[in-house]
Amino acid sequence: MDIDKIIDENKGLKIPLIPVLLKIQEIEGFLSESTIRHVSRRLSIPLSQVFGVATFYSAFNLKPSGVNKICLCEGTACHVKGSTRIREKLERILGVKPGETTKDGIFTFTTINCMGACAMGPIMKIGTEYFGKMTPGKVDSIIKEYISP
Amino acid sequence: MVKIKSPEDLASLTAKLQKEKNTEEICITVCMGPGCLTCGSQKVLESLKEEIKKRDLQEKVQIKETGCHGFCQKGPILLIKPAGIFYQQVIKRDIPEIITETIINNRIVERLLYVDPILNSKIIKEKDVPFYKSQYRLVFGDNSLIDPHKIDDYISLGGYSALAKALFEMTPVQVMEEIKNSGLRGRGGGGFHTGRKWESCRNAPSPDGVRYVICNADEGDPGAFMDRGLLEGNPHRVIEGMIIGAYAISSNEGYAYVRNEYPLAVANLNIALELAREYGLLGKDIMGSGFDFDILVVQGGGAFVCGESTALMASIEGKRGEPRPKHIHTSERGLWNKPTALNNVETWANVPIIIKKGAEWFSQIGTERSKGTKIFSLVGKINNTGLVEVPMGISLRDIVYKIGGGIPDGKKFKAIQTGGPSGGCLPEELLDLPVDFDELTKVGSMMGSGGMIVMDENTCMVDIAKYFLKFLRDESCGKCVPCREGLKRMVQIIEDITEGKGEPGHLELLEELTQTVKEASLCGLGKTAPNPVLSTIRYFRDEYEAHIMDKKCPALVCKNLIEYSIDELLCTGCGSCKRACPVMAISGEKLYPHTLDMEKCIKCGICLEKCPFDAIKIS
Amino acid sequence: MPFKSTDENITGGKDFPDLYYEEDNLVSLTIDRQKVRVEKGMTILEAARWMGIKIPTLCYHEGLTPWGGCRLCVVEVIKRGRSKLEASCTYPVAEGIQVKTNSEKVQKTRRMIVELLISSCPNSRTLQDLASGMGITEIRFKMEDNDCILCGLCVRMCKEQMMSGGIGFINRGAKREVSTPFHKSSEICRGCGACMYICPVVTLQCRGRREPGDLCNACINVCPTDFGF
Repeated sequence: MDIDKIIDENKGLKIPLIPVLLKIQEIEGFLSESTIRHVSRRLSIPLSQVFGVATFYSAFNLKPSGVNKICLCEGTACHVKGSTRIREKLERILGVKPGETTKDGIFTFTTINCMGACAMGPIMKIGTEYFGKMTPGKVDSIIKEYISP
Repeated sequence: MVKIKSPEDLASLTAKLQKEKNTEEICITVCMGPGCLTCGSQKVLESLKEEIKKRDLQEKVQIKETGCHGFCQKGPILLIKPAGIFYQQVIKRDIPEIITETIINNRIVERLLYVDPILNSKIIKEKDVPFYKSQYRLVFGDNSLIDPHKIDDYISLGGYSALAKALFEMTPVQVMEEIKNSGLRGRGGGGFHTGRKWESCRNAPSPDGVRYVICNADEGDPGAFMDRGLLEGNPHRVIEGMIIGAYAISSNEGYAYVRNEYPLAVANLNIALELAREYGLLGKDIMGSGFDFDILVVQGGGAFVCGESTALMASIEGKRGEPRPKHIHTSERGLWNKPTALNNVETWANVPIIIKKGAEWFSQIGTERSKGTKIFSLVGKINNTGLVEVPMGISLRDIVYKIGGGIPDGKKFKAIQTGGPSGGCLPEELLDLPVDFDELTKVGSMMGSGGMIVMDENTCMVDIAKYFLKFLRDESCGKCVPCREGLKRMVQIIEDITEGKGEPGHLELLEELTQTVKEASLCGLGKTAPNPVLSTIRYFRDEYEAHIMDKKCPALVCKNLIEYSIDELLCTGCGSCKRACPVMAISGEKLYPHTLDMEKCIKCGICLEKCPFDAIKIS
Repeated sequence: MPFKSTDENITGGKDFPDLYYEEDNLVSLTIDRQKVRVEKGMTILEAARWMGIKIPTLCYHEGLTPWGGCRLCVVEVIKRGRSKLEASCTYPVAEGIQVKTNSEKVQKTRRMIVELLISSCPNSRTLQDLASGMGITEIRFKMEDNDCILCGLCVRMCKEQMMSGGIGFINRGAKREVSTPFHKSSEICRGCGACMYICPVVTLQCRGRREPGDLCNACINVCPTDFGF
């Protein structure tokens, strides 16, 4: 099992919990209940602590995510340049709020506090592709490309 | 790779690398910084490689992938050496022309040059661009010369020589004294004296002699990306600084806590660490000096509060990133209760420079109490966005107008926000203020990690305050009551104000609440959280009053207080808005002025964006 | 104001006797204008309580590690001429500091904290009593109907005294709550009930006659000393 391998690789660290959870999530896409229980057992860390850590940091998803991850930057620079309108537009056409996945499972919509590419704001990211200097008008055509392959 | 076992080994390697460096050879530098990546520098690089291969120029032309050059607004950026030609906004299609014209025929592609907006003249060389001219790129300048994946690039520029000097010519105490004398202050926000921090860490008792060094790269401030630029572009400078720091406080174990959102920084840093280990510049017996030190990269989990030192340490320890009371400083009792020297990326990057050039030289730069340079991320409503490095003491006006090139579209400057969510918004009257830790604090803002967000007349200050409060409410760890409950209530009040439900007593209640949050919160996040509200109330009180009393948003931002309408005289009836409107609130026949149904309008603003004739008005 | 600040009540003041006589182990400080020598490593709260000064707390318990979360125990600490509000339950006594446990600033802050807490958890008798004791008669925030004040006593009790760890904090910021993992009954919980025993909200519900989600104030005219001030 992959999870066991990751745990064994990181067991030597002084601080295995967060790196292990991050790596598992990288492979599985999210942290399921059974994964968290398994990690707690293998690392002998109380389940309440593992669950507390997993819910504290925004990097961890406890729910499976869609095929495409849409990530909108809501940093100050992007906000000043109008990211709120883009968020509203995305909420409208996807029919979900940030942090949720569309019913068909094609998109997961998340927002991020700052992507660190503030100069090109507002920024949207789908998968690994960046879209700089976004406007609400550009959203439709970009999303369409991902719906029909 | 041969291990470097003495300072002489390093010196001869540096000399060898410098000699090998063919100054005649053409080198095309492609910026792969975050800004350029978002506008497609990856594609430019790929097609450049392809083109060079196709024309069989591999022998003649070298391609270098570097970190951020700073001028993100004009990305992707290409720099052709040795001529020093600066091409901006290059796209994939331009590559064949660049190769034919510039590389083979030695001619310049005029349309890719930077045009001076005032003089309207074309500028060929990078150093003549006004954006770069007024900067002092002490820490950041090497970014365009270095491929972060190649340690030799850094060594050929004299890298790691400061480490050799510290290890072999100075005692740890001397190193510490040097940093103390330089007047270097923490670049992460607080502005604490780095040397003094090291001193108290060094002198703090540790029964087993264990001390830690931490590099804080949890750049959480939205609108700031200097640390990312440094860590991705020049990781060895940060590593060198950390080793020197570890030597000064006699630590053998270091951690670099990097933000989860910066995977490239983690990757580059890990590569850099591996290369440094191979050369014997990190690990056991560094450069044959007998000093051991190693660094482990820890990836954060995505929590703003982890930029706070005690929360960061809790996070490294694998716990929830909750701050703890700091009555005893982390330099005395930090990570695993051991003395810990925690500094920001930029602070560490300054250390090798100080050791190399001396405290005296360094302390000549800047103002009396703020020494050296500071990197800012200049973003928002400004012409030249990007990373800029300026000497301390430069006025905000110079940054905004000389380097930043002023406000786009002829709009009026309104405010500049410094210091991230813990800082404040400063109005035009304060533009002549020098950039200095103490001066900025005096007027209710702070240096912070270096985000500088420019706002124009179309930015609503109440909305900005709401933005920061919401940000902090969501990012607060929730441990202490003033921060958790206080911020929640502040957001509620300010939401009421922006929705037109503001009442006369609201401002006073907000001010009373800010006092409690500021004074009674447990950690720095809470203690500084009211700053955006306080500074906007202080300098833009009339805007708050307009929202509360007149139920108007002067900047036309707050949705509940504005209305869209169509100017019949300007509308040509083209139908663009009608097609774009998601709720079909616009009606009208083709070629006749359209009308907007206020009942249906959801104020999304798409019609405004789509109208080619500026006929959509907000009031 | 139903009670006076101790600051004004004490004029002159006699020095307090030392707690221990091992000279090396003592720190002298001033609490409410009274000079006192106490053992190193004590917190201001412990020192003040030993002197008989009452400081209200919510998240503090003698048997558990100090947490510093509720901030109700804030006091003014004057160190090198600079005054700051600090949580007395975590602040260790230090040589030469001056402490004011009930200054105007302290009172104002405590009142705001109680107002903040009661507006989100109005059912707690502890909070209603505190509000009455402090003379809070009006809540200026939108009333909510939560029960938990997130003082963390139960979490620490479970972990430190019961050596368990069935419950813990989850989420962060305004969404923070105390819960078992996955909101399911915990496998390691022995059902000892220590968490309920120590909870300042569960066992003591406000029984005053009031509308749900309202400030009670039924006890406002009771002598302030009854509230422990």
